[in-house]
Amino acid sequence: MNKIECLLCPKRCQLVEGERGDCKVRINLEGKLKTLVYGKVCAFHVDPIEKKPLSHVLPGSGSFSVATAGCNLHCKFCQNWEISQREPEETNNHDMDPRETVRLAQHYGCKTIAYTYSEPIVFYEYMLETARLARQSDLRNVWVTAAFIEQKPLEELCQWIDAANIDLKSIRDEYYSQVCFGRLRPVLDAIVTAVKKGVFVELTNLLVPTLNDSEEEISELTRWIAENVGVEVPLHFSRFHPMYQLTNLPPTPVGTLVRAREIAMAQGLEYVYIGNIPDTEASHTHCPRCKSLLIERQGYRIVRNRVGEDGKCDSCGHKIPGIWK
Amino acid sequence: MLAVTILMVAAVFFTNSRNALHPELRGAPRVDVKRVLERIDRAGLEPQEAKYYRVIE
Repeated sequence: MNKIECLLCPKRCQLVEGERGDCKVRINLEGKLKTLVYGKVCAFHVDPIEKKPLSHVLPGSGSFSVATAGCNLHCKFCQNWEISQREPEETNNHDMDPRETVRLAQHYGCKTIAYTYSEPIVFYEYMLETARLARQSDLRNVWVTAAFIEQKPLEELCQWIDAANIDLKSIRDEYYSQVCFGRLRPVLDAIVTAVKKGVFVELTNLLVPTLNDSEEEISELTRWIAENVGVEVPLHFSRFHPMYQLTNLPPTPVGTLVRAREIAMAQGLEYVYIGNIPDTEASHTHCPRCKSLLIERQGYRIVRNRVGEDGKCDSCGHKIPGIWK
Repeated sequence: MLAVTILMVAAVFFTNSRNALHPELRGAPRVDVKRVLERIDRAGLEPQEAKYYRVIE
């Protein structure tokens, strides 16, 4: 029968010969699990690191961003569904092996390589090898993920990842199962593990009107962050735009995002940002101790940065968490 | 309506026939491996062994 079980993500797909996993990119061929997307990049771009979003990682720098087809979740609101919900046979792929990826990142003067856009977990082997080579070339590695991954591969990956933006989509398991076709628990465990393993983590919560934007849920989510990974972990509330299978819902009202930020700060979170909306006060970084404006942003542009390479507030010397040099 | 009924009867017939002839395939999806490989090849994909899996049977 040659039946195998994929142990990369908590879905643990069991596959007979010729069958592929829920991610669409891992397949059973001759009784072995094969990846179809090693070095088959369907999207690459130099992005500002702020776009990931990462507000405490090398502000103003370029991040060489890569993705392949596929995802192990199927969020109804996916912004990148044209690549994440496709098989690799359906996307336009460029041959870009890990060595070439690192070379291009250096060529474009980037300080980081970002594994992003779709779900990097599904191109795990390519990400791992690229990250290893990037480190040897003095580049940092950035992982933008929903973190629906098993512990063992996560622990191996954490050795090579410097910073991650992890999507905490909701604090309710029903939301994960009904809107994203995943589960909450493995994501929470992954966030805790990544932080413990020394990855610098920022979190993103996309607020979708009527589905996960109640004050009660926001309060629960921010309390979990404060109690489990600490108030110094930056949190981004992101605005939903009608997309993919959720075109019937309106964009998140700005007032909801502002209220969410107030709730998070009342829980003690020290760095709370609002994303996906035009210039806002909530995109700046302030020192939680002396309240001075440290990083002023205009869209993805850095207007002013007063955090030194030592990562300290230049007014009071308070240590600001992040990667600054 | 008639066409749907015929299709359903045919599906049940073929499934039962397969299960009788190949009991080990009961409940398993039918995959045309040759076609899968042709499609992968046509797309220029180069399958490489992945990490983190186990053989069940």
